Amino acid sequence: MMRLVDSRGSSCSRSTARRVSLWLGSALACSSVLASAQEATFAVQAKKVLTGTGEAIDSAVVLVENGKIRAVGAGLAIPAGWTVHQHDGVVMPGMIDLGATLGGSELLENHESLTPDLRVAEGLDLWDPSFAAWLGAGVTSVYVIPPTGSVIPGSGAVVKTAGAAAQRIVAAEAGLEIGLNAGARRRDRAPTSVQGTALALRDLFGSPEAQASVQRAKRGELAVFAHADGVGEVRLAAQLAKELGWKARLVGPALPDQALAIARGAAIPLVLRPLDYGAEERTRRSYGALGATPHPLGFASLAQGGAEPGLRRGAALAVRAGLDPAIALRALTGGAAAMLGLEARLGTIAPGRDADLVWLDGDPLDLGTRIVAVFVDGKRADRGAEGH
Amino acid sequence: MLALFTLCFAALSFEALSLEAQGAAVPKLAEDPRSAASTDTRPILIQAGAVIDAKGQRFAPGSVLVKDGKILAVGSGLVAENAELREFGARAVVTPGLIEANAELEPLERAEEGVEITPRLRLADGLDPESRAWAGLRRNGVTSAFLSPSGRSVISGRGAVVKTMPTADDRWILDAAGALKATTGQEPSGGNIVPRFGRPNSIFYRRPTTRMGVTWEFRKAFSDAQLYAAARQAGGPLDPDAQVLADLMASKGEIRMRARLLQDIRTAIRLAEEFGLRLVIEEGIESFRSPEEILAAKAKLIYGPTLFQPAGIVFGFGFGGGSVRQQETDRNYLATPARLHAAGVEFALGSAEYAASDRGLAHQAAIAVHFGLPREVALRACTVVPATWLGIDKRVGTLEVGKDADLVVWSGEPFELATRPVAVMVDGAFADAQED
Repeated sequence: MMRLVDSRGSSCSRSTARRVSLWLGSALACSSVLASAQEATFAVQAKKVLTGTGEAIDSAVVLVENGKIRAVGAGLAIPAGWTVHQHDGVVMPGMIDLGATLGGSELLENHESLTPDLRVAEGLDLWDPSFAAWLGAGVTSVYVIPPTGSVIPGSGAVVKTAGAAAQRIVAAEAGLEIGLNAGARRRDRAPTSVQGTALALRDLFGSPEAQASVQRAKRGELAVFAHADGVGEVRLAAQLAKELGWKARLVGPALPDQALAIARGAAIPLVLRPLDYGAEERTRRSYGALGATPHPLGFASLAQGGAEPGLRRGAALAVRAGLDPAIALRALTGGAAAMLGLEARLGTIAPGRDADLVWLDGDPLDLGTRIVAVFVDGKRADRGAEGH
Repeated sequence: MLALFTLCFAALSFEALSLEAQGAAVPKLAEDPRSAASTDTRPILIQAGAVIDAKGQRFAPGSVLVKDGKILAVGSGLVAENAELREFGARAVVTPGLIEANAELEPLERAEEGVEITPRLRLADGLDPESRAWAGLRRNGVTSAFLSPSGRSVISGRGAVVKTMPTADDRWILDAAGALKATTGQEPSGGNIVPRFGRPNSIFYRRPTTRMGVTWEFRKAFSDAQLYAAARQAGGPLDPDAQVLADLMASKGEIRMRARLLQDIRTAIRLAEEFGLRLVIEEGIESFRSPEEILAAKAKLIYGPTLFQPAGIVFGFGFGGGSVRQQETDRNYLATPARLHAAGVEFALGSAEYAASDRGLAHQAAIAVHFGLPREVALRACTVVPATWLGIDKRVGTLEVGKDADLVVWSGEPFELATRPVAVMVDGAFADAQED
């Protein structure tokens, strides 16, 4: 079978043309395949398609039309005149990072600790180089959040890591960020304690004059991403969610299995930090103990810019510790999209969804697997980056 | 007489066991791995050289029979056929689990420092079940504790009463809204700054900066709450903070005031009297100077910690010679508990910020005994007295049939300097010795 994509020859997409002239300058060979990948309609024939719902289809075809997925399945008829791209590997949906601070250093209003009406979307630099790094790692959508340095640093936005500028912000106010963890508090600005944080939040959500975003969060129209580290903070998050009517997501618990025991009763989805190599045995066991839980899971790098999100690696390490691989994959894709309320657009390869696709040369949770190409809205967007 | 007593208990225990054999329902809590011990229906029989029940009885040799987290029987030479036997040897002594009446734990963040008056703060909101402090408390033989908010604020909020073995649910929290804590003396003002130059760029540019200022803050808060209560009666708007203080005054409730030096103890007594509150004095380092004033005020005294700190030497550094703790406690004396007892003051012992350390309650009680406090008074000051004052005496404080199976097995006679707790049981489960 013809290998259609050469991992270095990927620099000719329209969306990256400007960068090409700036960064590379040299004439890398533009294969006809890649040029044609910018067409409005094309089909991908892959050895395996992971749809993001937990399903895997062998020898499948994905039909892409005007940046959306038209159909996916084995043995689909390809309309006459469509270009066909062969990929002798795996195609999966673009991954979703459920929390990273990309797009600038000025995203935290330091003066006060509760600033719920600040929107990260209004301070965001879409051409921050971190977006390209995330894209190269197969992440096509990021829930961009203010840095976790305040109790309510503001609301986060869902942003594509590539694509036409006008379409990159998928949701300008996708969730309200709330920090119950130590990183949200400072000694020289109220509240300085976790008890004080609880009281400040109860007062804010109890106030009829609270800001519009708080009112929306109270009505469950705006998801609350509650950052909690220790078990005590996790328990407080669940308690506040119940009291204050939050549609809550629990972000970054240090011991996910203990958080799960609390979150399950309260029906709160869990957003995990990627497991790292340096993690303690206790932490590793805790990730592993999640096993094949049906509880909604996602991953957030919680990175502040940087060279890579480490999402795929973190998920793979969690799988090595005992997390079910299908569960981990869903958490990176469809599960994460559902947590953002954007499952109709992101996270799965299904008719009508955005054609955000990642081509890999093997199992995504195998650390040796490379990312071969990344498509955003049906257009090849990576610059031939080696897989991260 | 004793034999009759024992027989009676033994009979009781058999009756309870046969009830169990007939299939009494035991709630299953399989979700919670830590409750595994309490679902184990097999009783545990603890045998030691002696059992002191803290009600005036000493059984030697002594046994305690425990089942489903409760005490089934206490006596001498108990027998229970299907029980798991735990023998600790002839030298070991069993007492009720100690109750730490004043624990200020470091992992519970310091007070909310943004404001001086935070009566609605609840320490229970900041509890960390994973903290190492619980094992530290258990190492001192402590099975229940009042967790006191920090003294960094004038009125810092409500404490919590907990068992020292956290559970995955909230069973371990006995009282999430414990007594309201206030602090006199130097600590609340320590760290506040007077703006002299530049812009005030921190929340610490504020009053109070002296102990008089601290008193002023307290008095103003309660006076304002009195005015508020009157205005509220006339249909005024709700102020939730003032409401807490107004409710406390209306119910003649309890205020816990940390007061170390005599002038601070007097201030606490005066303030409690002014606003009609029942007073609990924490620490009371200089209480020995005027026990009659404490008796006259009918204040409950939680004395301690006592520190080995030779008079005249102030440790630490900084302006004014040492930390607030060191400045305010270099007048503590090892014989203070004995002197208080001689003066007729009933008190509980507390170890404040040392509660989870090797200078915790077991050590505090040992010092008190070593310097003249009768042993049985020391035991009461760590068990029955705090249990009653904290309102948990129906469940803990003595070894009695039907009470929670919270107990300590000591390596020898309790409160000797060379004696240590060798095993601690909370709600019928021994703490993991490895972990502790």
